[in-house]
Amino acid sequence: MDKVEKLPSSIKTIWRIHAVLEYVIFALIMGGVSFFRLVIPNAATGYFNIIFYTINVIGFIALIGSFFFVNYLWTFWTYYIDERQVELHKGYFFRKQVIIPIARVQNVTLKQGPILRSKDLQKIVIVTASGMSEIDGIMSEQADQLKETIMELAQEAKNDI
Amino acid sequence: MTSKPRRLHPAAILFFFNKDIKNLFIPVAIFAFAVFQQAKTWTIIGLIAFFILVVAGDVVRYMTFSYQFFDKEILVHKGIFIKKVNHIPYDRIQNVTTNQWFFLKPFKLEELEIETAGHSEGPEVSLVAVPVELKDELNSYRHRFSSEVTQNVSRETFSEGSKTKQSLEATNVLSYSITWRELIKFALTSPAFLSGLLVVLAIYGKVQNGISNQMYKVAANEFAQFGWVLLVVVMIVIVLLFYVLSVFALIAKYYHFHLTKENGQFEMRYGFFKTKRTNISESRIQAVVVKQTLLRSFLHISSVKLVIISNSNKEETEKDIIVMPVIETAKLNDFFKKFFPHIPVEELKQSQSVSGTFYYDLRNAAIFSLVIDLVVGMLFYRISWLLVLLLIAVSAVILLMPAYLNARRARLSIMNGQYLFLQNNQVTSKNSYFVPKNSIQLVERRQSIWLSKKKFAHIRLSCRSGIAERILQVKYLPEQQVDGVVEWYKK
Repeated sequence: MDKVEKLPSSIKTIWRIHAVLEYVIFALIMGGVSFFRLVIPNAATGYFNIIFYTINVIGFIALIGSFFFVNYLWTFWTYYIDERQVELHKGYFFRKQVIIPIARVQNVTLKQGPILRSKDLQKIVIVTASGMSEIDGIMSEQADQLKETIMELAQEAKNDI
Repeated sequence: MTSKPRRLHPAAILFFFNKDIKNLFIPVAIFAFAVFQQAKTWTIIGLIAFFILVVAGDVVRYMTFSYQFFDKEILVHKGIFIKKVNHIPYDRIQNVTTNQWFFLKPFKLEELEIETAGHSEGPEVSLVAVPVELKDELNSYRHRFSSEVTQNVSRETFSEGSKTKQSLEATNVLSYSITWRELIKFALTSPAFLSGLLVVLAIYGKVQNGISNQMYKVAANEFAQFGWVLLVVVMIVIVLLFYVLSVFALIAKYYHFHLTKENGQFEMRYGFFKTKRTNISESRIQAVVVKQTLLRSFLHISSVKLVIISNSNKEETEKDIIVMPVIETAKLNDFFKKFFPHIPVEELKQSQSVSGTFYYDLRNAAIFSLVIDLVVGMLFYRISWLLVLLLIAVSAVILLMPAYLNARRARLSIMNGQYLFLQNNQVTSKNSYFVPKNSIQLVERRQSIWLSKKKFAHIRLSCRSGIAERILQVKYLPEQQVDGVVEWYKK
């Protein structure tokens, strides 16, 4: 596993599904809010409509935007794991590089919901004493292997908290 | 060797009672006040019943609370309906604090708090009234346990590699006390009174509503004769009063601050009314911080604090343990050499601030203040141009001064294989961190594509402090400094 790797490309589908789900929730909430129109005075209906439709349009733009953003996110999200540390790289315009030494890892959590399971992916949460970092999804097999590696190495390294 | 289960001293009931009353006083008082007019006798009976109930509850709490020392752990039993048994292994103890009120001194009692790295709110164990000898007993158990362990496994510690040195130092007790002059300087330059003032203003707002209009009118007439001069004088007197009170409070709090170091254990002892003794092992220290507010930097004094893992929630604002509230900056190097011999302060080479850092920090602040000025200008230009100009000047000072200090104080350098020096600015106070590599949980390097062309980058270090994460960050540093640290960290 000694090279810089990308997340599997099926994660893009999952991000898109998430975006759609979020939009559905947003649309449901907005649907609920639209009932307020019945109870507010007539004079205010105009303002209500303007605000209501603006928010709706922004929500829709955000949905379309996130479909394109998924590609950007995926292209520039890489990780690298060797026997000493986990490295995460994100972004192109705003670049982030995170280094977590394996000796500092407290525990590793693998998460899998129904959507991730359909693509045979797992989400990895790496927990240190101060916080946690996530890898949104990697192939199940690889995730298990990664977990093994980290746990082995973490046992060798001393826990100094 | 195991001890028998033991109870707290009966005085603990008083402490439990005091705590209950503190929590319940306001709701009960409001309730009683509301009902009193309708049913006087019932209210009084209710209050007495309530009082008896609370006392009974505290007595039962005292009866069911016990603690016990084992070879490897402390066991604490508590609970009336839900029995709780808390196990605390000795090697998971982060620090031990004792608090002794002056009135408990003749009875040789104190409160003992044990903190761990857990996420519970408040200390893991709080023994509210126990004999003063208990701390030594606890320490002997801990010591016996740790010496058993170190025979098998050598722990990677804060003072790595100085194990042999430590055994040499074992008999060597280091100590340092602050002088009266330093303490007074410290108390006089503390901005703590400002927060007290805010509280008073808030109360004043409420009281003002309560004062009857008539009285207000009388007072206003009286005031009218003297005009606003008197008002200003009164305000100044109130501020001064607060200032004096806060000075005395601080002196009482840090009275006779005494630091000792023995066997890799730090002990801080201070306080006039309430003597506080905190013990912390050197290996539990996450980082050492030197803090200096603007006013104190003019007086060349600073405070030394320790970033530690603890779950004490007593002082929300001051998470770090004060190891030395005040010390003259000139004495700092000697202080470090004495108490933190493995931090190579001598080898610290501070790089000069780069003009690029100034450019970016000031540019951001200028953009931000211009946006504010624009909004303010649009809102207020009808009222008074003078006001707008004043606001522009104020916003410029409030935003640009910290930005300038940010740039001037931004420092990052590698001291040696183990230690990193990081300095940043928090509004107007300077924080210098000495961080061992072991306690940096992760390093994050941030850079936008535009910054990469100019060869600048940000760095964020994540450490554990209290029960949460502490981010130490410096922005707009030359790329090679940041990359150097990233490489150093990876090694």
